[in-house]
Amino acid sequence: MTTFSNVSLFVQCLVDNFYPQVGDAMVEIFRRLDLKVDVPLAQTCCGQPAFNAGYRKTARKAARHFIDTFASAEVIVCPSGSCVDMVRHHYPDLFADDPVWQARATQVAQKTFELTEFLVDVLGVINLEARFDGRVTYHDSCHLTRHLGVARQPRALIQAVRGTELIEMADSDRCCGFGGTFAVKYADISTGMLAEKVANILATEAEVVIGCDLSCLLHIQGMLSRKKLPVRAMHIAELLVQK
Amino acid sequence: MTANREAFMARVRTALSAPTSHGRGAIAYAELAPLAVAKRSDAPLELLAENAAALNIQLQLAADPAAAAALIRRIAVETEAEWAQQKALVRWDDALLNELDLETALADTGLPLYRAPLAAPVDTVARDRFHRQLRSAVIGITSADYCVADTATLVLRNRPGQPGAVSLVPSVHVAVVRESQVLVDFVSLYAELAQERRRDREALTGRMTFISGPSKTGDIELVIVHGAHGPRALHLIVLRDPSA
Amino acid sequence: MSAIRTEAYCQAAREGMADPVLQKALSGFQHRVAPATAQRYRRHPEGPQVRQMAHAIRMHAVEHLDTLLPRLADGILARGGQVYFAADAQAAVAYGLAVARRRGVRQVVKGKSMVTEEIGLNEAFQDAGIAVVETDLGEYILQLAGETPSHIIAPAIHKTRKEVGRLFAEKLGIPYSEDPPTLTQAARAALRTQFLSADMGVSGCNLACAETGHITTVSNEGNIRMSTTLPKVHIAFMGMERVVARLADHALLFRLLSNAAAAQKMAGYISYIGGPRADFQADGPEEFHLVIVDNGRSRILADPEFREILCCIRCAACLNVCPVYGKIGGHAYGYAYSGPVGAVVTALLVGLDRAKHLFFGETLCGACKEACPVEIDLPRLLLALRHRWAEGRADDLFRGGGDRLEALVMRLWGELARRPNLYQGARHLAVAGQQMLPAEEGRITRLPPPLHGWTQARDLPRLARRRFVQRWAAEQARGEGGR
Repeated sequence: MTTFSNVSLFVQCLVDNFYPQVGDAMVEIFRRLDLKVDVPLAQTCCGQPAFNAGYRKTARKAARHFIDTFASAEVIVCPSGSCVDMVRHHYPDLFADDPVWQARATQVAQKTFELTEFLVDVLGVINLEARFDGRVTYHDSCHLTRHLGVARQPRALIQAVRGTELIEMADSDRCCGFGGTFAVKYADISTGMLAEKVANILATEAEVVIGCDLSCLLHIQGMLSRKKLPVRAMHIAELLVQK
Repeated sequence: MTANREAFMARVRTALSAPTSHGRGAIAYAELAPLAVAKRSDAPLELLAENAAALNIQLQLAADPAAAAALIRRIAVETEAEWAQQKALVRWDDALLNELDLETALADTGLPLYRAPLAAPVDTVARDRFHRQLRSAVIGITSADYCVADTATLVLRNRPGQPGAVSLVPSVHVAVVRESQVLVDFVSLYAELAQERRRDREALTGRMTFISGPSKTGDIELVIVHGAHGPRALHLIVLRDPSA
Repeated sequence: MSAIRTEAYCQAAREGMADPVLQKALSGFQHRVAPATAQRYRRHPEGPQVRQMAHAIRMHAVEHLDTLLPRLADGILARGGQVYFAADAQAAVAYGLAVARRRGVRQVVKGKSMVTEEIGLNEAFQDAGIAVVETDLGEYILQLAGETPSHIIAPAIHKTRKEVGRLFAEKLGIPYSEDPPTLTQAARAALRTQFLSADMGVSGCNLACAETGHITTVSNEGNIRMSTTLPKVHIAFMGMERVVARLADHALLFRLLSNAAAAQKMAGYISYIGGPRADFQADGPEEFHLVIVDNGRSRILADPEFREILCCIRCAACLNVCPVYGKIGGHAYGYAYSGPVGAVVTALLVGLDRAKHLFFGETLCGACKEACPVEIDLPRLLLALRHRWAEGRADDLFRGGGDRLEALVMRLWGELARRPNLYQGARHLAVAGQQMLPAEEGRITRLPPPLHGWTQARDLPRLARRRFVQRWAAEQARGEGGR
């Protein structure tokens, strides 16, 4: 087990703005593990929305700010596979023609981890002594599972929660249709994809759908509440602090 | 014609003058490891049987040429005509098939057995006659250069007396190969072909065909149907080596 | 050039999603083929790097087209074949027509070929009074129905057996049947007559081999063998990138192509064709022509970011896993190429502005990259297209017009992202503003344009009163004060 004295949280925009309780849960997890938590107050967004929309100049601005904000961090942990993919895989490319910034970007990229991969692969922690009585299913978010290769880790963490029954849904790694601005610009297609995801969730008869990316969960919850369906979306960090 | 080729290739050369690091994979072409050989290379006939069954190839083993001829006779009797009233057979004219002496084996059935023209060059008369025979034939009989066990693939090349159409136009294709012609997998097939090419640059001939199973389609609701355009059935007869 | 309807993406997508038959067919097809393909990939003795090896083979070929194409051409010329290098669609079609006219061709049988769809060959032949029959069963069904393919490998997946039954009853005069074997047999009989009487066969080319000087064709039905064996003239069209260097390269690529296209271990028929029939041959065409088509490919080759797409072997594996394709179907893409590869190739062929919906209307989920037998980084290419569209430099070969309003919004957003105080301030405004939006049980049910798409079928939580970061700061301050 690797030891760290200080974990810096990059809480990600959606957690920061819509679901601060997920940030609280992360803090709680690290406290339980006796790790000191730091939240750099200057953090904003990693720049992925601009990058994905093709605006790399803007993405570079956000990336420089991120790199400055987290340069001195020992390790950076983020509750989103998508943002970690941005930092880890796209930051170094974003500064391909700027060796100084590319070096800084690479340095930050190497110490940025998604929450579940950090817990399981870096810290070697699976059981957080959580208890949650209920049936849950797990949604594999695209960038987490395909670009970071993280699928086993969240499942191990879920299965270690006492009282929780994990029921796999069909096509758990099929995109929910969020896709950033896609969800707004191509709302019909996005909604069609989401309806399929929701049907797969319902078929498990789970009460909760767990995920590691708030973007997907916000999207899925959007339809669950609109249709008043008896399932709720929950970030894995929240599950891991249930008592 | 030459001018347009030159202009075309000049564009390609210009385009390639811009180097790129994008799209580089993890492995370089120059450092490609040799392809791996399929598992179970020790029992090629078993492997062939398994894959032939999966492709709906009717595989039969024959101890000697007479047994092979008897198998073909039975297939000929049992196969129903499709395009012509009269059932007829057409076969390659090559050493292996000649060894079977199908003419004798089929004599009592009264079924016509045509041979593809062997004498080169094939003149218009011979070609027209062959085409008429081909259209009317219900069974086409060929040998093959190789048979690949891992994929149940037959490898046919066009040589005098061996027109590829015999394996295509008749309703049913019967292929005969010797056990010694059975290779394990595609990697060994390509290794053999490369070796042949070292001896003869034109070893592939102008037309080489790999056949893995009878003609099939899934274009209507993904239901697999055999006999889309080519043969609706493929019989493969493996002639055991005398030592076996 | 075939008709370009890429601008109608959103409308066509809606139509696709509203078609219950298509929805069922797409879902059934994807669920059947995609997992089987993935399983096939896992079984190669070369191990998990097998697709990377294939990538290396294809990228090497693409980067050596300057030597490979002449070698291929010379091999074919040496066997008495003819090779034409076509700069664009018009030149390729004109060459085909010239051959047909010289030979007095009235009837053509054709094997499925993407590049001939791209160059609009059928339309040009038909305009010239030459009948062209598509002989792939799926394509034949669509030709009879007057429709276009919706999938590269399974062109008629959107047709039910009942529809085919009615179509065949009407067009072929057979008694109505919805039994696939009966319907296949009817097509077999109808097309056999065509094969035996056609004056010319047209095919594409899957992967040519420069070393030996052969093109190859791949099919399961045998229609391409028929089309290239029986008529007196065979003319093959290939995109200039569809060649590999060595014969041995095929040992890997044909396995992967078969896995990718139809989850097969090996495709039913693979034919190497290196020229017209030799004088000892009793079958085969008298004339063989190979038309090597550029039609915009050298521009793609010249662009460092997009060159990789030329590795594509047109297997359609990316269609079979794409969740967007799985919803909207192939017609929505408005051109010969559909799915993720279509989103990239079409944009590069018809222009970024005309095809922008194709590369923006994707979620970057990455399933395509995992399914690609030659591991093309399709998400990278989609991102690069978006970048060129939004910020392309004037000297870029491929660029788009962008959107000035969106660019302005992005610039402002970029300023917020790097100025935490400004970010905080903007958020205050948003928190205040959201009170005016209709909500139910604390969740926003209707957003104003341009965000209204979200709330069509989804609601949105309200922004938390305070950001996590603010709460944390406050907590720290309290904690330190109390200590």
